Amino acid sequence: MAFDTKISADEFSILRSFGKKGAFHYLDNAAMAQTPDCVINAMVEHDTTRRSNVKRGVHSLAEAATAAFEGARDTVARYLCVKDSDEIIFTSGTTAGINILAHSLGLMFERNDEILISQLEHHSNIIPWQIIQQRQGVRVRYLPVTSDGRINLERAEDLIKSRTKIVAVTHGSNVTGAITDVRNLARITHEKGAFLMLDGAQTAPGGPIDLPGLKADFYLFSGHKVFGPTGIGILWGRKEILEKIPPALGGGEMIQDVGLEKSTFLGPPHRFEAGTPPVTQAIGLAAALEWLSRQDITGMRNHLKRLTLRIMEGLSGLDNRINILGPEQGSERLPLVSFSVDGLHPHDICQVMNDRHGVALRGGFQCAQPLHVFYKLDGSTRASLAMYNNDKDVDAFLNGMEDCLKILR
Amino acid sequence: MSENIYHDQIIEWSKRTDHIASLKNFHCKATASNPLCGDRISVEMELNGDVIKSMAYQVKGCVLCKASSAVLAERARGLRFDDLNVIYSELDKALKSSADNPDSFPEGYRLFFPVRSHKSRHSCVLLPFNAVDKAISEYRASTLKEI
Repeated sequence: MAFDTKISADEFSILRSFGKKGAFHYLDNAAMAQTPDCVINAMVEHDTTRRSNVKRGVHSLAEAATAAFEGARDTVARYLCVKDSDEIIFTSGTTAGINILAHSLGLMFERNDEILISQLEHHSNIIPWQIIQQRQGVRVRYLPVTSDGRINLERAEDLIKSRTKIVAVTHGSNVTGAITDVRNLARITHEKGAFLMLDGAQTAPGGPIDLPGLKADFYLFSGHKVFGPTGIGILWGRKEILEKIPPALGGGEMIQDVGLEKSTFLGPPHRFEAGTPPVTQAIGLAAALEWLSRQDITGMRNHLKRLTLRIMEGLSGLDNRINILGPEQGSERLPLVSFSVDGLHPHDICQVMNDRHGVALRGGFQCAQPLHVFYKLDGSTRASLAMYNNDKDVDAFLNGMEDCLKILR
Repeated sequence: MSENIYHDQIIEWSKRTDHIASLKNFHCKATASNPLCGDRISVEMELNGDVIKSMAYQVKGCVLCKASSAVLAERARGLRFDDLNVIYSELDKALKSSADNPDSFPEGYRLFFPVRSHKSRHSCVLLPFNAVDKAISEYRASTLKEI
Protein backbone atom coordinates (compact mmCIF):
# COMPACT_ATOMS: atom_id res chain seq x y z
CA MET A 1 0.00 0.00 0.00
CA ALA A 2 1.30 3.45 -0.92
CA PHE A 3 2.36 5.76 1.90
CA ASP A 4 -0.57 7.96 2.89
CA THR A 5 0.68 11.57 3.15
CA LYS A 6 -2.86 12.87 3.74
CA ILE A 7 -2.98 11.15 7.12
CA SER A 8 0.44 12.55 8.04
CA ALA A 9 -0.36 16.12 6.96
CA ASP A 10 -3.67 16.08 8.84
CA GLU A 11 -1.77 15.64 12.08
CA PHE A 12 -0.11 19.06 11.68
CA SER A 13 -2.17 22.16 12.50
CA ILE A 14 0.33 24.40 10.75
CA LEU A 15 -0.03 22.51 7.46
CA ARG A 16 -3.82 22.58 7.69
CA SER A 17 -3.98 26.30 8.50
CA PHE A 18 -1.47 27.40 5.86
CA GLY A 19 -3.13 25.15 3.30
CA LYS A 20 -6.38 27.09 3.76
CA LYS A 21 -4.65 30.41 3.04
CA GLY A 22 -3.53 29.38 -0.45
CA ALA A 23 -0.66 27.56 -2.06
CA PHE A 24 1.80 26.37 0.56
CA HIS A 25 4.53 23.85 -0.12
CA TYR A 26 7.00 23.47 2.72
CA LEU A 27 10.26 22.13 1.31
CA ASP A 28 12.62 23.40 4.01
CA ASN A 29 12.44 20.37 6.27
CA ALA A 30 16.20 19.89 6.51
CA ALA A 31 16.34 23.24 8.33
CA MET A 32 13.33 22.56 10.52
CA ALA A 33 10.60 19.96 10.27
CA GLN A 34 7.05 20.83 11.31
CA THR A 35 5.69 19.56 14.60
CA PRO A 36 2.61 17.31 14.80
CA ASP A 37 -0.19 18.29 17.15
CA CYS A 38 0.44 15.32 19.44
CA VAL A 39 3.91 16.69 20.24
CA ILE A 40 2.59 20.17 20.99
CA ASN A 41 -0.17 18.62 23.10
CA ALA A 42 2.34 16.55 25.06
CA MET A 43 4.27 19.70 25.97
CA VAL A 44 1.10 21.58 26.91
CA GLU A 45 -0.01 18.66 29.03
CA HIS A 46 3.34 18.59 30.79
CA ASP A 47 3.36 22.32 31.49
CA THR A 48 -0.24 22.27 32.69
CA THR A 49 -0.04 19.17 34.89
CA ARG A 50 3.58 18.40 35.85
CA ARG A 51 5.60 21.61 35.45
CA SER A 52 8.37 21.67 38.00
CA ASN A 53 12.12 21.58 38.16
CA VAL A 54 13.60 18.10 37.98
CA LYS A 55 15.86 16.10 40.30
CA ARG A 56 15.64 18.74 43.06
CA GLY A 57 12.31 18.82 44.85
CA VAL A 58 10.58 16.04 46.71
CA HIS A 59 7.08 17.37 46.19
CA SER A 60 4.58 15.64 43.94
CA LEU A 61 5.07 17.88 40.93
CA ALA A 62 8.85 17.52 41.10
CA GLU A 63 8.52 13.75 41.30
CA ALA A 64 6.14 13.68 38.33
CA ALA A 65 8.32 16.03 36.27
CA THR A 66 11.46 14.05 37.06
CA ALA A 67 9.77 10.78 36.11
CA ALA A 68 8.57 12.30 32.81
CA PHE A 69 12.00 13.80 32.08
CA GLU A 70 13.86 10.54 32.76
CA GLY A 71 11.17 8.70 30.83
CA ALA A 72 11.96 10.95 27.88
CA ARG A 73 15.60 9.91 28.17
CA ASP A 74 14.52 6.25 28.00
CA THR A 75 12.48 7.00 24.86
CA VAL A 76 15.51 8.57 23.17
CA ALA A 77 17.62 5.54 24.11
CA ARG A 78 15.05 3.24 22.50
CA TYR A 79 15.03 5.39 19.33
CA LEU A 80 18.79 5.04 19.12
CA CYS A 81 18.64 1.32 19.98
CA VAL A 82 20.95 1.72 22.97
CA LYS A 83 20.35 -0.12 26.22
CA ASP A 84 21.71 2.36 28.74
CA SER A 85 19.83 5.66 28.91
CA ASP A 86 22.70 7.10 31.00
CA GLU A 87 24.43 7.51 27.64
CA ILE A 88 21.79 10.03 26.55
CA ILE A 89 22.72 13.65 27.30
CA PHE A 90 20.11 16.35 26.76
CA THR A 91 21.47 19.46 25.07
CA SER A 92 19.81 22.40 23.38
CA GLY A 93 20.57 21.06 19.89
CA THR A 94 23.27 19.49 17.74
CA THR A 95 25.37 22.66 17.76
CA ALA A 96 25.31 22.83 21.56
CA GLY A 97 26.07 19.10 21.73
CA ILE A 98 29.15 19.36 19.53
CA ASN A 99 30.32 22.36 21.54
CA ILE A 100 29.85 20.47 24.81
CA LEU A 101 31.77 17.51 23.41
CA ALA A 102 34.54 19.64 21.91
CA HIS A 103 35.06 21.70 25.04
CA SER A 104 34.85 18.71 27.40
CA LEU A 105 36.90 16.27 25.37
CA GLY A 106 39.22 19.14 24.47
CA LEU A 107 40.28 19.36 28.10
CA MET A 108 42.01 16.00 27.55
CA PHE A 109 43.84 17.05 24.37
CA GLU A 110 47.52 17.88 24.30
CA ARG A 111 49.44 20.20 22.03
CA ASN A 112 49.89 18.76 18.49
CA ASP A 113 47.02 16.31 18.92
CA GLU A 114 44.84 16.19 15.83
CA ILE A 115 41.13 16.45 15.17
CA LEU A 116 39.91 15.16 11.83
CA ILE A 117 36.74 16.57 10.30
CA SER A 118 35.80 17.06 6.64
CA GLN A 119 35.25 19.87 4.19
CA LEU A 120 31.65 18.70 3.89
CA GLU A 121 30.69 19.67 7.44
CA HIS A 122 28.04 22.05 8.68
CA HIS A 123 29.62 25.05 10.40
CA SER A 124 28.49 23.61 13.74
CA ASN A 125 30.97 20.77 13.23
CA ILE A 126 33.80 23.06 12.15
CA ILE A 127 33.81 26.10 14.40
CA PRO A 128 33.82 24.33 17.81
CA TRP A 129 36.91 22.35 16.79
CA GLN A 130 38.61 25.45 15.38
CA ILE A 131 38.03 27.15 18.75
CA ILE A 132 39.71 24.20 20.49
CA GLN A 133 42.54 24.46 17.95
CA GLN A 134 43.10 28.12 18.79
CA ARG A 135 42.81 27.52 22.52
CA GLN A 136 44.97 24.44 22.90
CA GLY A 137 47.34 24.28 19.98
CA VAL A 138 45.81 21.12 18.54
CA ARG A 139 45.47 20.80 14.80
CA VAL A 140 42.22 20.46 12.86
CA ARG A 141 42.64 18.50 9.64
CA TYR A 142 40.12 17.90 6.90
CA LEU A 143 39.02 14.90 4.90
CA PRO A 144 38.49 16.11 1.34
CA VAL A 145 35.24 15.93 -0.59
CA THR A 146 34.62 13.91 -3.76
CA SER A 147 33.13 15.57 -6.82
CA ASP A 148 29.79 13.87 -6.10
CA GLY A 149 29.58 15.49 -2.68
CA ARG A 150 30.73 12.68 -0.39
CA ILE A 151 33.47 12.63 2.18
CA ASN A 152 36.50 11.08 0.48
CA LEU A 153 36.93 8.14 2.83
CA GLU A 154 39.80 6.75 0.75
CA ARG A 155 41.94 9.41 2.42
CA ALA A 156 41.00 8.25 5.92
CA GLU A 157 43.87 5.75 6.17
CA ASP A 158 46.38 8.54 5.46
CA LEU A 159 44.81 11.25 7.53
CA ILE A 160 43.92 9.34 10.70
CA LYS A 161 47.17 9.12 12.61
CA SER A 162 48.26 8.08 16.07
CA ARG A 163 47.96 11.76 17.09
CA THR A 164 44.32 11.86 15.93
CA LYS A 165 42.04 12.04 18.96
CA ILE A 166 38.66 12.27 17.28
CA VAL A 167 37.20 11.90 13.81
CA ALA A 168 34.08 14.06 13.74
CA VAL A 169 32.05 13.90 10.55
CA THR A 170 28.52 14.22 9.31
CA HIS A 171 26.42 11.10 9.07
CA GLY A 172 24.47 12.75 6.23
CA SER A 173 25.21 16.02 4.47
CA ASN A 174 22.71 18.87 4.82
CA VAL A 175 23.84 20.15 1.39
CA THR A 176 24.65 17.20 -0.86
CA GLY A 177 22.40 14.65 0.84
CA ALA A 178 25.25 12.12 0.77
CA ILE A 179 25.11 9.52 3.52
CA THR A 180 28.48 8.69 5.00
CA ASP A 181 29.48 5.02 4.89
CA VAL A 182 30.86 4.80 8.39
CA ARG A 183 31.69 1.10 8.64
CA ASN A 184 35.26 1.36 7.36
CA LEU A 185 35.72 4.76 8.93
CA ALA A 186 34.83 3.37 12.36
CA ARG A 187 37.30 0.50 11.91
CA ILE A 188 40.18 2.74 10.81
CA THR A 189 39.40 5.32 13.50
CA HIS A 190 39.37 2.75 16.28
CA GLU A 191 42.50 0.99 15.01
CA LYS A 192 44.33 4.29 15.47
CA GLY A 193 42.87 4.72 18.95
CA ALA A 194 40.66 7.71 18.10
CA PHE A 195 36.99 8.33 18.75
CA LEU A 196 34.35 8.58 16.02
CA MET A 197 31.68 11.26 16.28
CA LEU A 198 28.75 11.37 13.87
CA ASP A 199 26.63 14.47 13.33
CA GLY A 200 23.22 12.85 12.90
CA ALA A 201 21.18 16.04 12.48
CA GLN A 202 20.05 15.00 9.00
CA THR A 203 19.89 11.22 9.47
CA ALA A 204 17.93 11.01 12.73
CA PRO A 205 14.68 12.22 11.06
CA GLY A 206 14.71 9.12 8.84
CA GLY A 207 13.53 6.79 11.61
CA PRO A 208 15.09 4.88 14.52
CA ILE A 209 18.87 4.65 14.34
CA ASP A 210 20.80 1.43 14.91
CA LEU A 211 23.61 3.08 16.84
CA PRO A 212 25.34 -0.14 17.94
CA GLY A 213 25.55 -1.09 14.26
CA LEU A 214 27.23 2.20 13.36
CA LYS A 215 30.11 1.55 15.79
CA ALA A 216 30.41 5.25 16.54
CA ASP A 217 31.45 6.65 19.90
CA PHE A 218 29.35 9.81 19.81
CA TYR A 219 26.18 10.68 17.89
CA LEU A 220 24.21 13.91 17.94
CA PHE A 221 20.91 15.20 16.65
CA SER A 222 18.40 18.02 17.12
CA GLY A 223 14.77 17.97 18.19
CA HIS A 224 13.57 20.46 15.60
CA LYS A 225 14.60 18.24 12.71
CA VAL A 226 12.83 15.13 14.05
CA PHE A 227 9.41 16.84 14.23
CA GLY A 228 10.06 17.91 17.82
CA PRO A 229 10.47 21.29 19.49
CA THR A 230 13.36 23.71 19.23
CA GLY A 231 15.86 24.10 22.06
CA ILE A 232 16.46 20.39 22.56
CA GLY A 233 19.01 17.98 21.18
CA ILE A 234 20.87 14.83 22.06
CA LEU A 235 24.50 14.01 22.58
CA TRP A 236 24.92 10.26 22.85
CA GLY A 237 28.23 8.82 23.94
CA ARG A 238 29.54 5.46 25.04
CA LYS A 239 29.31 5.38 28.81
CA GLU A 240 32.84 4.09 29.36
CA ILE A 241 34.13 7.11 27.42
CA LEU A 242 31.75 9.66 28.95
CA GLU A 243 32.85 8.55 32.43
CA LYS A 244 36.41 9.61 31.64
CA ILE A 245 35.61 13.01 30.14
CA PRO A 246 35.68 16.01 32.48
CA PRO A 247 32.75 18.42 32.22
CA ALA A 248 33.36 21.77 30.53
CA LEU A 249 30.24 23.41 31.94
CA GLY A 250 29.52 23.62 35.64
CA GLY A 251 26.51 24.40 37.80
CA GLY A 252 23.62 22.77 39.58
CA GLU A 253 22.39 19.28 38.69
CA MET A 254 25.84 18.04 37.68
CA ILE A 255 27.65 17.93 41.02
CA GLN A 256 28.21 15.27 43.64
CA ASP A 257 29.89 17.33 46.30
CA VAL A 258 30.79 21.01 46.33
CA GLY A 259 33.57 22.46 48.42
CA LEU A 260 35.23 25.86 48.41
CA GLU A 261 38.47 24.41 47.11
CA LYS A 262 37.26 21.54 44.99
CA SER A 263 34.08 19.88 43.80
CA THR A 264 33.27 16.45 42.46
CA PHE A 265 30.85 15.62 39.71
CA LEU A 266 28.13 13.12 39.04
CA GLY A 267 28.56 10.44 36.41
CA PRO A 268 27.13 10.70 32.93
CA PRO A 269 24.72 11.93 31.72
CA HIS A 270 24.21 14.41 34.57
CA ARG A 271 27.79 15.72 34.66
CA PHE A 272 27.17 17.16 31.19
CA GLU A 273 23.78 18.72 32.01
CA ALA A 274 24.66 21.70 34.20
CA GLY A 275 21.71 23.84 35.24
CA THR A 276 18.01 23.31 34.71
CA PRO A 277 17.62 21.19 31.59
CA PRO A 278 15.07 21.88 28.84
CA VAL A 279 12.44 19.73 30.56
CA THR A 280 9.36 20.57 28.50
CA GLN A 281 11.33 20.29 25.27
CA ALA A 282 12.63 16.86 26.35
CA ILE A 283 9.01 15.75 26.86
CA GLY A 284 8.23 17.11 23.38
CA LEU A 285 11.22 15.37 21.85
CA ALA A 286 10.17 12.05 23.35
CA ALA A 287 6.63 12.52 22.02
CA ALA A 288 8.07 13.30 18.57
CA LEU A 289 10.28 10.21 18.55
CA GLU A 290 7.40 8.01 19.71
CA TRP A 291 5.20 9.50 16.97
CA LEU A 292 7.93 9.01 14.37
CA SER A 293 8.51 5.43 15.48
CA ARG A 294 4.80 4.69 14.97
CA GLN A 295 4.99 5.69 11.30
CA ASP A 296 5.44 3.26 8.43
CA ILE A 297 9.17 3.92 8.20
CA THR A 298 9.78 1.74 5.15
CA GLY A 299 6.80 3.29 3.37
CA MET A 300 7.98 6.76 4.35
CA ARG A 301 11.51 6.15 3.07
CA ASN A 302 10.25 4.77 -0.25
CA HIS A 303 7.86 7.71 -0.59
CA LEU A 304 10.65 10.23 0.06
CA LYS A 305 13.02 8.39 -2.27
CA ARG A 306 10.45 8.59 -5.07
CA LEU A 307 9.78 12.31 -4.53
CA THR A 308 13.51 13.05 -4.33
CA LEU A 309 14.06 11.26 -7.62
CA ARG A 310 11.20 13.24 -9.19
CA ILE A 311 12.85 16.49 -8.12
CA MET A 312 16.22 15.41 -9.49
CA GLU A 313 14.76 14.22 -12.79
CA GLY A 314 12.58 17.32 -13.10
CA LEU A 315 15.44 19.72 -12.44
CA SER A 316 17.76 17.88 -14.82
CA GLY A 317 15.29 18.23 -17.65
CA LEU A 318 14.41 21.85 -16.95
CA ASP A 319 17.44 23.85 -17.97
CA ASN A 320 21.06 23.05 -18.70
CA ARG A 321 22.16 25.89 -16.40
CA ILE A 322 21.05 23.80 -13.40
CA ASN A 323 23.75 21.86 -11.58
CA ILE A 324 22.60 19.34 -8.96
CA LEU A 325 25.02 18.82 -6.09
CA GLY A 326 25.66 15.45 -4.50
CA PRO A 327 25.39 11.78 -5.41
CA GLU A 328 24.15 11.04 -8.89
CA GLN A 329 20.56 10.13 -9.65
CA GLY A 330 19.68 6.67 -8.36
CA SER A 331 22.36 6.61 -5.65
CA GLU A 332 21.32 6.53 -2.02
CA ARG A 333 20.87 10.00 -0.56
CA LEU A 334 18.89 11.92 2.02
CA PRO A 335 15.53 13.32 0.86
CA LEU A 336 17.00 16.66 -0.13
CA VAL A 337 18.30 18.18 -3.35
CA SER A 338 20.65 21.16 -3.48
CA PHE A 339 21.38 22.82 -6.79
CA SER A 340 22.90 25.88 -8.35
CA VAL A 341 21.72 27.73 -11.45
CA ASP A 342 24.41 29.49 -13.48
CA GLY A 343 23.85 33.23 -13.27
CA LEU A 344 21.09 33.09 -10.66
CA HIS A 345 21.41 33.86 -6.98
CA PRO A 346 19.87 31.34 -4.52
CA HIS A 347 18.06 34.06 -2.59
CA ASP A 348 16.43 35.34 -5.76
CA ILE A 349 15.22 31.82 -6.54
CA CYS A 350 13.92 31.32 -2.98
CA GLN A 351 12.15 34.68 -2.97
CA VAL A 352 10.39 34.15 -6.31
CA MET A 353 9.46 30.59 -5.37
CA ASN A 354 7.92 31.82 -2.12
CA ASP A 355 6.23 34.94 -3.44
CA ARG A 356 4.79 33.52 -6.63
CA HIS A 357 4.38 29.82 -5.87
CA GLY A 358 4.18 29.41 -2.10
CA VAL A 359 7.19 27.09 -2.13
CA ALA A 360 9.49 27.35 0.92
CA LEU A 361 13.14 26.58 0.07
CA ARG A 362 16.53 27.29 1.60
CA GLY A 363 19.23 29.25 -0.20
CA GLY A 364 22.74 30.49 0.50
CA PHE A 365 25.73 28.75 2.04
CA GLN A 366 23.42 26.50 4.06
CA CYS A 367 25.91 26.79 6.94
CA ALA A 368 28.50 24.98 4.82
CA GLN A 369 30.74 27.67 3.33
CA PRO A 370 33.88 25.49 2.93
CA LEU A 371 31.85 22.98 0.89
CA HIS A 372 30.64 25.78 -1.38
CA VAL A 373 34.21 26.98 -1.75
CA PHE A 374 35.08 23.44 -2.89
CA TYR A 375 32.31 23.65 -5.49
CA LYS A 376 33.38 27.23 -6.40
CA LEU A 377 29.84 28.40 -5.67
CA ASP A 378 28.60 31.48 -3.82
CA GLY A 379 25.68 29.46 -2.51
CA SER A 380 23.10 26.90 -3.52
CA THR A 381 19.36 26.35 -3.27
CA ARG A 382 17.89 23.37 -1.44
CA ALA A 383 14.56 21.57 -1.51
CA SER A 384 14.20 19.15 1.39
CA LEU A 385 11.34 16.77 2.01
CA ALA A 386 9.45 15.25 4.91
CA MET A 387 6.81 12.54 4.98
CA TYR A 388 3.91 15.01 4.68
CA ASN A 389 5.16 16.26 1.30
CA ASN A 390 3.49 14.85 -1.79
CA ASP A 391 3.47 14.98 -5.57
CA LYS A 392 1.62 18.31 -5.54
CA ASP A 393 4.54 19.84 -3.66
CA VAL A 394 6.99 18.49 -6.23
CA ASP A 395 4.76 19.72 -9.08
CA ALA A 396 4.62 23.18 -7.49
CA PHE A 397 8.40 23.17 -7.07
CA LEU A 398 9.13 22.16 -10.66
CA ASN A 399 6.51 24.50 -12.16
CA GLY A 400 7.79 27.27 -9.93
CA MET A 401 11.37 26.69 -11.01
CA GLU A 402 10.34 26.89 -14.66
CA ASP A 403 8.66 30.23 -13.96
CA CYS A 404 11.61 31.39 -11.87
CA LEU A 405 14.06 30.73 -14.68
CA LYS A 406 11.94 32.87 -17.00
CA ILE A 407 11.52 35.75 -14.56
CA LEU A 408 15.13 35.95 -13.45
CA ARG A 409 16.63 35.31 -16.86
CA MET B 1 1.98 34.51 -0.57
CA SER B 2 3.67 37.82 0.14
CA GLU B 3 4.14 41.10 -1.74
CA ASN B 4 6.21 40.74 -4.91
CA ILE B 5 9.53 42.45 -4.36
CA TYR B 6 10.88 41.52 -7.78
CA HIS B 7 8.94 44.10 -9.73
CA ASP B 8 10.09 45.35 -13.13
CA GLN B 9 11.90 48.41 -11.81
CA ILE B 10 14.06 46.35 -9.44
CA ILE B 11 14.82 43.76 -12.11
CA GLU B 12 15.72 46.57 -14.52
CA TRP B 13 18.07 48.27 -12.05
CA SER B 14 19.69 44.93 -11.19
CA LYS B 15 20.73 44.55 -14.82
CA ARG B 16 22.38 47.97 -15.12
CA THR B 17 26.11 47.89 -15.53
CA ASP B 18 26.86 51.63 -15.90
CA HIS B 19 29.12 51.79 -12.86
CA ILE B 20 30.43 48.23 -12.75
CA ALA B 21 34.07 49.07 -13.31
CA SER B 22 37.37 49.87 -11.64
CA LEU B 23 38.42 53.50 -11.25
CA LYS B 24 41.85 54.52 -12.43
CA ASN B 25 42.13 57.11 -9.70
CA PHE B 26 40.32 56.36 -6.50
CA HIS B 27 40.86 57.71 -3.01
CA CYS B 28 39.14 55.01 -1.05
CA LYS B 29 37.85 51.48 -1.47
CA ALA B 30 36.30 48.74 0.63
CA THR B 31 34.60 45.38 0.39
CA ALA B 32 31.54 44.23 2.31
CA SER B 33 30.07 40.76 2.34
CA ASN B 34 27.09 38.93 3.75
CA PRO B 35 28.18 35.65 5.35
CA LEU B 36 24.69 34.17 5.13
CA CYS B 37 24.30 34.26 1.38
CA GLY B 38 27.78 34.99 0.09
CA ASP B 39 26.95 38.38 -1.43
CA ARG B 40 30.02 40.55 -1.85
CA ILE B 41 30.50 44.08 -3.12
CA SER B 42 33.70 46.03 -3.60
CA VAL B 43 33.46 49.79 -4.08
CA GLU B 44 35.97 52.41 -5.20
CA MET B 45 35.37 56.15 -4.93
CA GLU B 46 37.08 59.19 -6.32
CA LEU B 47 36.72 62.13 -3.94
CA ASN B 48 37.03 65.87 -3.86
CA GLY B 49 37.39 66.63 -0.18
CA ASP B 50 34.33 65.08 1.40
CA VAL B 51 32.38 65.06 -1.87
CA ILE B 52 32.07 61.88 -3.94
CA LYS B 53 33.15 62.60 -7.52
CA SER B 54 32.46 59.11 -8.80
CA MET B 55 31.83 55.60 -7.58
CA ALA B 56 32.44 52.25 -9.25
CA TYR B 57 31.82 48.77 -7.95
CA GLN B 58 32.10 45.04 -8.53
CA VAL B 59 29.26 42.95 -7.13
CA LYS B 60 28.43 39.27 -6.72
CA GLY B 61 24.97 39.20 -5.29
CA CYS B 62 21.25 38.80 -5.59
CA VAL B 63 18.89 40.99 -7.60
CA LEU B 64 18.26 43.28 -4.61
CA CYS B 65 21.95 43.78 -3.89
CA LYS B 66 22.71 44.44 -7.55
CA ALA B 67 19.81 46.89 -7.89
CA SER B 68 20.77 48.73 -4.72
CA SER B 69 24.41 48.94 -5.87
CA ALA B 70 23.35 50.40 -9.21
CA VAL B 71 21.05 52.99 -7.61
CA LEU B 72 23.67 54.01 -5.07
CA ALA B 73 26.45 54.37 -7.65
CA GLU B 74 24.15 56.40 -9.89
CA ARG B 75 23.09 58.75 -7.11
CA ALA B 76 26.38 59.01 -5.20
CA ARG B 77 28.02 61.46 -7.57
CA GLY B 78 28.16 64.93 -5.98
CA LEU B 79 27.01 63.79 -2.55
CA ARG B 80 28.83 64.80 0.59
CA PHE B 81 29.71 62.07 3.10
CA ASP B 82 27.15 63.49 5.49
CA ASP B 83 24.43 63.48 2.81
CA LEU B 84 25.19 59.83 2.12
CA ASN B 85 25.00 59.00 5.81
CA VAL B 86 21.57 60.60 5.98
CA ILE B 87 20.33 58.53 3.03
CA TYR B 88 21.80 55.37 4.56
CA SER B 89 20.12 56.08 7.87
CA GLU B 90 16.77 56.99 6.28
CA LEU B 91 16.81 53.88 4.10
CA ASP B 92 17.62 51.67 7.07
CA LYS B 93 14.86 53.30 9.10
CA ALA B 94 12.33 53.06 6.26
CA LEU B 95 13.06 49.36 5.74
CA LYS B 96 12.50 48.69 9.43
CA SER B 97 9.40 50.87 9.62
CA SER B 98 5.93 49.35 9.62
CA ALA B 99 4.56 52.50 7.94
CA ASP B 100 2.69 51.64 4.76
CA ASN B 101 4.04 54.63 2.93
CA PRO B 102 6.61 54.56 0.10
CA ASP B 103 7.37 58.23 0.78
CA SER B 104 9.17 57.20 3.95
CA PHE B 105 11.96 55.93 1.64
CA PRO B 106 14.65 58.37 0.45
CA GLU B 107 14.21 59.73 -3.04
CA GLY B 108 15.46 57.26 -5.61
CA TYR B 109 15.04 54.31 -3.24
CA ARG B 110 11.26 53.97 -3.24
CA LEU B 111 11.54 50.96 -5.52
CA PHE B 112 12.69 49.07 -2.43
CA PHE B 113 9.44 49.76 -0.57
CA PRO B 114 8.15 46.15 -0.96
CA VAL B 115 11.35 44.83 0.65
CA ARG B 116 10.37 46.28 4.05
CA SER B 117 8.20 43.26 4.89
CA HIS B 118 11.07 40.85 4.13
CA LYS B 119 13.35 41.45 7.09
CA SER B 120 15.91 38.87 6.05
CA ARG B 121 16.40 40.75 2.75
CA HIS B 122 17.11 44.18 4.25
CA SER B 123 20.80 43.35 4.41
CA CYS B 124 20.81 42.70 0.63
CA VAL B 125 19.67 46.30 0.00
CA LEU B 126 21.99 47.77 2.61
CA LEU B 127 25.17 45.85 1.71
CA PRO B 128 26.39 48.48 -0.83
CA PHE B 129 25.93 51.15 1.84
CA ASN B 130 27.95 49.03 4.29
CA ALA B 131 30.80 48.95 1.77
CA VAL B 132 30.67 52.70 1.08
CA ASP B 133 30.43 53.47 4.79
CA LYS B 134 33.47 51.26 5.45
CA ALA B 135 35.45 52.91 2.63
CA ILE B 136 34.66 56.40 3.95
CA SER B 137 35.46 55.46 7.56
CA GLU B 138 38.81 53.99 6.54
CA TYR B 139 39.55 57.02 4.36
CA ARG B 140 38.74 59.38 7.23
CA ALA B 141 40.89 57.37 9.61
CA SER B 142 43.83 57.42 7.20
CA THR B 143 43.57 61.18 6.55
CA LEU B 144 43.42 61.84 10.29
CA LYS B 145 46.65 59.85 10.72
CA GLU B 146 48.35 61.97 8.08
CA ILE B 147 47.37 65.12 9.97
